[in-house]
Amino acid sequence: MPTEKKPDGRIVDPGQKEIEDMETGNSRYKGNTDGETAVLDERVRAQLGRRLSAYYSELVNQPIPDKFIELLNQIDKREKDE
Amino acid sequence: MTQQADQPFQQALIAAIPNLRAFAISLCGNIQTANDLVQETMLKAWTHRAKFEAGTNIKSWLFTILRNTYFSDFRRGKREVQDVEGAAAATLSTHPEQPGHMDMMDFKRSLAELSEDQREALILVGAEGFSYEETAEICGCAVGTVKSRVNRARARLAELMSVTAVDDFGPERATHAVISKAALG
Repeated sequence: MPTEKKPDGRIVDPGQKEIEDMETGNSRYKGNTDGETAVLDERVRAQLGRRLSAYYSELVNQPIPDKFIELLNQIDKREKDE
Repeated sequence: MTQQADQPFQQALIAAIPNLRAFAISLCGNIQTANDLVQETMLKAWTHRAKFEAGTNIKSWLFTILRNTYFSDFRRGKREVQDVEGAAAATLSTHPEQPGHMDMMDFKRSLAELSEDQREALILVGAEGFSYEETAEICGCAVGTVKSRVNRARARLAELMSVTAVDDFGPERATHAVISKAALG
């Protein structure tokens, strides 16, 4: 991963730099008028978060199709046979 | 790698299946396609298990494989919204009395309206709980891009849902949906 060396000798990785830029309003985050850095009202955000969790946990809790376990067993067996 | 060393890997792979599948369904909007995608992901992960660096996060490694497989082999133009609604209707017929099912159908429909970029970022950060940094690695983009996509996804969802869920957001929803410039929490 490319890193940037600051004048004071600190090494900054690009991800961290990105955050610093956002926080300090540097570079390309400056003058952003299309709502990119905007945040929703807390109440709306919480409501969306609850729905997203409900939606997703329903998916995560669905039973796993047997074919996935069978697949792993087959791989296992094939490797042992070799 | 010895077979003994493969055992924890296999267990981790099995443990990740429900989440891989949930993410796959969210990407594809079609359960059958999602199952095929998870199967392909598992095969790839197993084939390349020697490349996995022990001690690093296997879950985000698997999510990266699934995501790349989806975009290279499984994506078929527009997401299949109809199937999402079909799945919602199937749930509906099993639990007709279940409160909130209309909300959930609205939510699924709204989620399907998001761009793929926004939906995947929102799911990874908001539902899977990956950090912005992990999500950036999974999606192969900058951290700032992930933040921007998540923000846009939330704003767009709020906009879409406020049309159909006035009760939840209240009459002042338009005001609430408007957005103040502040750091993301």
